Amino acid sequence: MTILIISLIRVLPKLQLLYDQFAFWGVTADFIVEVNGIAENEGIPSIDPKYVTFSKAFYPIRFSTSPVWSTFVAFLKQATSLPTWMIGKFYIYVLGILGSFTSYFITRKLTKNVNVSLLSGLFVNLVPYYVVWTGIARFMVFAVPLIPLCFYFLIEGMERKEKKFIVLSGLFAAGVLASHNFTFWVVAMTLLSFTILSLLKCILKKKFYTWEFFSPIAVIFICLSIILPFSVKYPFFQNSLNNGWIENSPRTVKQYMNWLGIVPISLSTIGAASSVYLVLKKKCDSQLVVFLFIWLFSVWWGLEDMRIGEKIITRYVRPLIKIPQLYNLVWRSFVPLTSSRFFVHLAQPVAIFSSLGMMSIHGIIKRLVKKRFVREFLFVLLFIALVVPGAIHSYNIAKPFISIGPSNDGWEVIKFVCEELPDDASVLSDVALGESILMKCNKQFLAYYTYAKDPFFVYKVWGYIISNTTLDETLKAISKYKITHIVLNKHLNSVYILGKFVNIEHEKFRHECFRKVFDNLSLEVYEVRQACIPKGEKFDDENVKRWFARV
Amino acid sequence: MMKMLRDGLREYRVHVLIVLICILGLLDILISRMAFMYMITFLIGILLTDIFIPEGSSFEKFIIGIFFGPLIMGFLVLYINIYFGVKITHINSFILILILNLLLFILKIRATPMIKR
Repeated sequence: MTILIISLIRVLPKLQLLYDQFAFWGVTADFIVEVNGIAENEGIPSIDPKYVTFSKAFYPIRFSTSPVWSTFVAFLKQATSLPTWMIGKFYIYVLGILGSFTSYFITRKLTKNVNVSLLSGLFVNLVPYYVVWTGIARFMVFAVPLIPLCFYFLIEGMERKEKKFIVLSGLFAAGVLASHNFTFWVVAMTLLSFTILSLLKCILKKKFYTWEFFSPIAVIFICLSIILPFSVKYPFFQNSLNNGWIENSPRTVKQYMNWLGIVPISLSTIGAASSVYLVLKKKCDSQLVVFLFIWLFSVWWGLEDMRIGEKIITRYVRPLIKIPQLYNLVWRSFVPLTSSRFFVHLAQPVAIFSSLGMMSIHGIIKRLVKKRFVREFLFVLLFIALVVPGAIHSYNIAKPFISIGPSNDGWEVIKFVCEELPDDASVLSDVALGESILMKCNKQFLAYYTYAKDPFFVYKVWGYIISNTTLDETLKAISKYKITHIVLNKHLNSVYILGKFVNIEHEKFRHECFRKVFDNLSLEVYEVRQACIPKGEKFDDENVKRWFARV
Repeated sequence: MMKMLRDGLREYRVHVLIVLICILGLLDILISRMAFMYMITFLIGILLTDIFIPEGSSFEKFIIGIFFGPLIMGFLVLYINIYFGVKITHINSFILILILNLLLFILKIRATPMIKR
């Protein structure tokens, strides 16, 4: 019951901020498009529906991620005839909330302490990135709660020595592996490190025919045998290794503090230190601590800037491996696809360490204060002092993300653009809304095809046109890229993450060259008068690059 | 006879419920499509968990079942589509649920000790 109440806290930020919207970060269009594509085709199409309208030169035309979850949602869509977004919304609410349950289960399995498990369930809900990313109808929301279940059944199988738990663990591992490119790396790395460690332990103890020796290998085998039949038909593994979102910016301490929360980070540091101390004093199960550190380290490795892995591999591994193909495989396996999305996978190990930290603080108070009533009162006071600011911090961080994707207002605009505008309209819009327009009704969202080799250039053009101060330059750019309509977000600067870098020149759009054709609470659509567009004057792409260099 | 039927229905009421709702779905007289979605997601998961992990509290079964059901069905639909070419249509979805239900029913009967039966 307690864990149920704890999990329901997870719903609060949604009710406060977006009671009618189905995601914090609304880049859910690709999920909807993929599901609709499968449902319309009545099966898996040969071309990934997400990328049909994008350039085939840049994006993979075959499935880059395994469509297990989207197939299931398409199946539900076909059975119930419900719209995709409704099914997506259902899964966000159910699976997003239940993520803390699985953290509770794995902590109870590892520590055998109900209080620590309840605390870990609570702290997961206090990690801001967990709150944000499990509020998205994408593949993450399916994968995150499954990772603890995979380890839960692996440990259960090793303890009870029963095959069915190992099979379940393998199945859950396959579910995580099939969710996304990033989850592929997380589960692969964690399972691999765990397997290597347990093998080493068995070899050192010279106990080979044990469950500890075979269980992790069996889990990997089952997991691969579930995935491989799909991989034979679709180049899923290759894509998981090759095509990833790579963010080259190094992570800063501020990012860790912001995305994992100050309270969970501080408490987990205390928890990690105290657990190491207890292991050294032989008062704690070393296997539990080692497992938690493996989990934490594996996800962190995926999260950190790839240069760390790059340095290690190029300095120490390259001289050892002479065969280029083998070196290439090692490189791809150990240099991760870095993405800030990895922060969501860090939430669960951090929450477990935080709960251990909280319990070690309780232990310290127990030693210092003898009277039981005063002791418990102090602990409760400290608990409230830590949890309340933590909750406020984590639930506030969701705000900057809310309007990135299509909100209800956004969907109104998408509907307007798809139904009211002519077929040859070319719409300039911010990234998420533009992609949604593109995916929903195949209208031109700037010229993706033309700039396929540099898709980020499209974003720069968008920034240049809406923030450039001179009308003449704007019209020249509009002429060059053949734009007919512009979508503006009125609250861009306050809510949109890119709004921090560009300022909309609203005054410019009051000119008679632009005619307002749509207006709602947060968005407006302008039509560009064709008479205003200069003819014969050339616009150089270098202007955009120069402008952005200045920004 | 009535007692046996009643006991049988009580024992396998989830399976009976799934069959009834599938028939309603096939006849296109589903009252709540949302409730149907909950049902096939949760009930099949719980049935699967009941067969695989009969021990453990019902609460644990419920939570694990919620993840287990969609996962099994996701893989099943994907592979049936890719390797057998079965299309994901309205009628096929219901037939698949009914077949899965039948399989789970057989598995449950096999798992139940003979004396109890």
